[in-house]
Amino acid sequence: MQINQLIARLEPDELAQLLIRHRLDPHSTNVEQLPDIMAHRGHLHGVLTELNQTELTIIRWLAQQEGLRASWDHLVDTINHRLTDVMVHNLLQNLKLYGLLDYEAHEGTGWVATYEAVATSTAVSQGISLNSALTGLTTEMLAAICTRLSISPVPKAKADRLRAIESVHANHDRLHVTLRNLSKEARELFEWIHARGGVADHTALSVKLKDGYYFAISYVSRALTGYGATNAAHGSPFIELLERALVVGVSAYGNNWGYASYFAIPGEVITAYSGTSVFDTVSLLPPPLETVTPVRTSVPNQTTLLRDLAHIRAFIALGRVEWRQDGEPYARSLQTLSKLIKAPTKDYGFTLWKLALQVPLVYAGGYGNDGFEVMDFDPEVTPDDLIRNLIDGWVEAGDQAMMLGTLPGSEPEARVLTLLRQIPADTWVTRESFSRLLAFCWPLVFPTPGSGAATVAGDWSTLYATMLSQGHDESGNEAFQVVSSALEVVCPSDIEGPPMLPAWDTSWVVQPDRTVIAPPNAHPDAILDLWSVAEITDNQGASIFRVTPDSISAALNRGMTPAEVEAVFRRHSRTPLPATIERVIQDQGRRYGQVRVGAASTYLQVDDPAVLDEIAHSAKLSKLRIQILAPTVGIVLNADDPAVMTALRKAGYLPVSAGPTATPTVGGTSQPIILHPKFGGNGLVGVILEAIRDTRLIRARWTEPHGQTESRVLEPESIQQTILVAYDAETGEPWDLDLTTVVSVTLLSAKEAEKYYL
Amino acid sequence: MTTFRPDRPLIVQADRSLLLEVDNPFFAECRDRLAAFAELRKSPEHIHTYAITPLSLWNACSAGVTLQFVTETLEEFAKFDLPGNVMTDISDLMSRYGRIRLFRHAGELTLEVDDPDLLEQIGRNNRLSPMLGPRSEQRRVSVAPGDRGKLKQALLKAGLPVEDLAGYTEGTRFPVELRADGLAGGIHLRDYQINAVEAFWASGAANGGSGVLVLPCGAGKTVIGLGVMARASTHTLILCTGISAVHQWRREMIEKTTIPAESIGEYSGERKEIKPVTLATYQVMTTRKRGSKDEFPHLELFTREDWGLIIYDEVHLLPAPVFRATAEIQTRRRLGLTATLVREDGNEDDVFSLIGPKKFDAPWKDLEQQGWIAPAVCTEVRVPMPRELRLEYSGAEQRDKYRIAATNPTKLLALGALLERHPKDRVLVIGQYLDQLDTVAEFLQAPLITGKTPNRDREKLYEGFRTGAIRRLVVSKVANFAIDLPEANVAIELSGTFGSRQEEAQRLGRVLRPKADGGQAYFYGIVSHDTIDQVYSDHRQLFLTEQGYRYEIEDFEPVSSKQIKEHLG
Repeated sequence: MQINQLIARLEPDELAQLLIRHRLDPHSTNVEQLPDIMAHRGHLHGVLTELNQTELTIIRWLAQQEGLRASWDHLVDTINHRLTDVMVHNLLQNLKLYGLLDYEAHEGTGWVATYEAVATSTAVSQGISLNSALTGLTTEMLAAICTRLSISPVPKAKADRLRAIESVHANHDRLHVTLRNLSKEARELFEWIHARGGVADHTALSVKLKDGYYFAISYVSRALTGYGATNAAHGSPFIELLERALVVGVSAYGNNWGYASYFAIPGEVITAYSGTSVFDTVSLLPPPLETVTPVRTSVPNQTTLLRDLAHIRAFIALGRVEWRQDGEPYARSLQTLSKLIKAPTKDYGFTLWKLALQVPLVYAGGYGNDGFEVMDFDPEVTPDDLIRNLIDGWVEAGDQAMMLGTLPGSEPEARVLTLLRQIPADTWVTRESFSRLLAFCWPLVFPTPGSGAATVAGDWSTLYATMLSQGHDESGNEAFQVVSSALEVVCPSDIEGPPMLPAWDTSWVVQPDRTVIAPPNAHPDAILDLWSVAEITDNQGASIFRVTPDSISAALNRGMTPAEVEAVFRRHSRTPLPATIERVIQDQGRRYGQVRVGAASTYLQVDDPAVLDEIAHSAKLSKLRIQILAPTVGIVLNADDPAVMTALRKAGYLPVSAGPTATPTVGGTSQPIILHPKFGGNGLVGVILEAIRDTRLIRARWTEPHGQTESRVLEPESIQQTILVAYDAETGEPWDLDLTTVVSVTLLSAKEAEKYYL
Repeated sequence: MTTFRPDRPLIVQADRSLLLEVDNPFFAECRDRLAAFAELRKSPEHIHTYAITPLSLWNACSAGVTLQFVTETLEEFAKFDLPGNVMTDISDLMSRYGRIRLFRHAGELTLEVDDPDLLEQIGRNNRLSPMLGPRSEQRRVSVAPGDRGKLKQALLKAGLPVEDLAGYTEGTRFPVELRADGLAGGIHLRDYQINAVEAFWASGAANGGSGVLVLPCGAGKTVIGLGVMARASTHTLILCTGISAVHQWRREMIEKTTIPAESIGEYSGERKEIKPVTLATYQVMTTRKRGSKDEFPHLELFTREDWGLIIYDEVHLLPAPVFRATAEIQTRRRLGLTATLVREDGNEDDVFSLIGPKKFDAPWKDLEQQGWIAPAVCTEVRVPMPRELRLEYSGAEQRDKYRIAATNPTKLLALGALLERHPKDRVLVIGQYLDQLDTVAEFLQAPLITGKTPNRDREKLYEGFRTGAIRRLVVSKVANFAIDLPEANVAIELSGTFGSRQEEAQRLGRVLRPKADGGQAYFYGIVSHDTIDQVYSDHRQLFLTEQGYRYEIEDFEPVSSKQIKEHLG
């Protein structure tokens, strides 16, 4: 049948249903384009993920029928009372509304049919099917197989050839005719492989067939890859089976039999050989959930989870996290947090970290920066909302990290959640039986447990933190139960009701013993404030903090003023502030700033305090912003050494530079004004340039490679990149001095320089 | 639906601690029910903290409290859902009680278990097996009488509580009655004192008769001890902290009971009398035999007489040798009395296991509200350090810093200012450093009592203080305990034993006796600002703030350094 025909037979309401199921807008979708959309491979795959195992089996069975069509009676006979009539009707109607098949349910005249795109998609989806094994072969090879199977006439199109081969092998009677026509050795080899579970690898085959196997392999490589066969391979029972697609090659490198990893009897052949249908190979009814009595359990507490999320948010906000270069937190930081909040395990911090990322509590600061930063908390978000956001975050994270092996749009996390909502609450079930149920409900999304396929949506830490109790039975098998109260939060009913979780509480109880108690339902911002002024001491339900001199100092060091610290307490405290708290704030506040530290690279020192006073008050030098520390010492706040020298000279003074190790002395020196040069950088270079310009001598100190310090009086000539070219003032010897090794440079006074000029 | 009842007063924590809101209509009811199975840890102004410990649950079991009662109490009063593990833990712990029993069987002390495997498990424990005798039956094993205490202690440490049904030696009978109209007007026990006596005595049953009663200073612990003696009416040994306390007990006994003075013996450094009621000091009990490092000959006192009751006054000060001796006298009824079961060495558990569990605990503030102890205003007065002293302090070794700060001479000025506020009051000035106390006594022209003061002189001074002849008394740490000076209403602390919490509480206790005029008590701690003195002071205050006391803080500003110098001469 054609898709057009299927669509044409739909009632208007059925068509509307179909559009909805295909996630198309009933109002804007052009029905004429619908066949193209429905036949699109990617789109179709998405639709097929919605099918359960029974529905998929019906489609697969239909895909094996000649012309992709079967009589109603044949379908009913094949199902053979494994499903009730009502169930069959419902299943077919469901498949019809997905646009995957059409049917007429009448005894004698009824029929059921699908179309090519569906048959192809379902066949390649899973397992070692004929379709998947033969697709890689050339059209000519498929024609050769058709000929061996006495299919006449050989269909022209590749897809038709494939379909024809499938029809022969999926039919019990025709398969047995094919087998009867084999040689005795080939039949015996088929039975041997069948007895091995339908699979044989190179080692097993080489032992079984001895040298004949290597000839056969050579034949496979040549014949099935188009290079012709060797005579020695003729008459090989293995070749007989391969030429009839009774055994197919399975390769990790596509469907190339020449590089087969092993050989196998296709699933359709095994099914037909045993006289059964695909309906016999799988369960058509959902597997039961296994209930258990767990021996070790942990029950989620949503309120305390939200409390701990507030803790990690505060921990990050206050800069307590050490960040790796890639912006992620160091493990030790999260372990520290676990310890501080008395978490049950040291890895609890990781769980919180992952959860904090799933809801908008932190955002990325970027590589090499300060890692993640804290977001403002939306005041409208209630505790119920935050729990729901966590679950949604888990679903969305799963979508973003779409796993290999799942189809586009398969949304495994969302499906897990859907099924969890349907199973009985407060009942312990094994996780494996739940996985089996998942695989039944959505076989194209979730692999059957034990199949070896990668687990999908397997990280349930968010669910265990929010809505599932976790446990193990006596054998150590994982079990869980859906906590009904948690479920009510996660899946709010349509009826507007009171919130399930306690509303946020923004208040604390501040006690005279300097403990501060925040209730378990403390608002995240209240927790943040508390972290900023106190130290957490307990977190077993309510969070208990203690106000200490250190905690207040830390708040002040983060830039809060004593008044702000006190305001934080007053804002949240349910009771009047005890004197003990007020005083610790005042005490620390008074000590705060008693010692001030600032940068002062350049100082001035004079013998006569009047000179310094004059300089400090000079309008010409006001830009330097000289601050008098002592009658004879001042610091320059707004200029580096050369600028100060220049400015002083312009103002009529004759400044000289002090040595690099010199320190200001309150009480005067022999120099009228001493300028302290900076080490390295412009300060040092500035002094040298000045000496060059004024033809003055300098005393330079530098470190030798072995670490010793050398000092010379030099007459600088020039600076070339980082090399100072100079002459020894005593010997006249030329010096090339690497400036990066220079520790200090000082200008010699005229008096000091005199002896060198003499 | 998640349980959240904001009107309820209790938060149950995952570590089995309980936070109880004071300002809640259900507070009193909840507190009374918690008292049956949880231990009050601290009771600051707004939220009291309780702990459900193995010991508190086993004590509750021994008093007949059921799991159902515990569960119902927690569920009824909790604001939030109970943490998942709490009820499981409580159920597990309570189920352990009664699995092991000690009783007398055919005159022999016998350990009995329900499960023979448990006995097997105990027998394989290297620490326990030496204390077990031969097995009489599959579930019974005999125990040497001298090992009763040690075995119970060891089993308790292994998490296996023993239900001790072996009973007590009744001791030589000696009738004691409380006088209804004695020399000082007789005695009527207050309600809480009756409750304390009954909690200890437990109708004379085997599950009573050993334990600790915790009451604030001034709440009448001695009277409660007398009440217990009246119940026991047997030869009694009372261990006290010092000779003054011995005399005080003696005085109380004569005033308030029918015990004739000649039946009261004093076993101290000065006398070695053994009478039906004997008062001994911890010091004499731990005096070594001359020339020996190991022997404590006076510990024989425990077994030389057929005591039916042993009272440990200020049990938190129990010295280690007395601990060890106590382990061997488990057949005697044992009563511990204290205001502050805070041992700075952290050995509270040993007190519980050897003397007995805490049987009664009356919060300080409760008794204050009922008028049984005087309301107290606690004030920390901060004084600056003179510049020269601060320089000395800054350069001092760590170990010397406290002494320098604690003996800051500016404290004298503050002391003078405080005394001006209390011209007619009876003031105790308490300090740690003798040279400082000498200076103070001289400064105040007040008498001084230290360890060197002969007992006779001490008594005379105490008596003078009681009568009002002396209004200001300077005392060293000898007056920390068991000195009954009911008229004292102001205590000024100049220095203390570093950060000792119990010392602070005991010192406050000196002024908590209810005043005849209903007036309040004042407790001042003078500390040097921004020094280690202030840090220790913070720590010292912890116990009292946890009991609900508030400390007001005042800054003392001397007029000038010149004034300081003038005062210092």
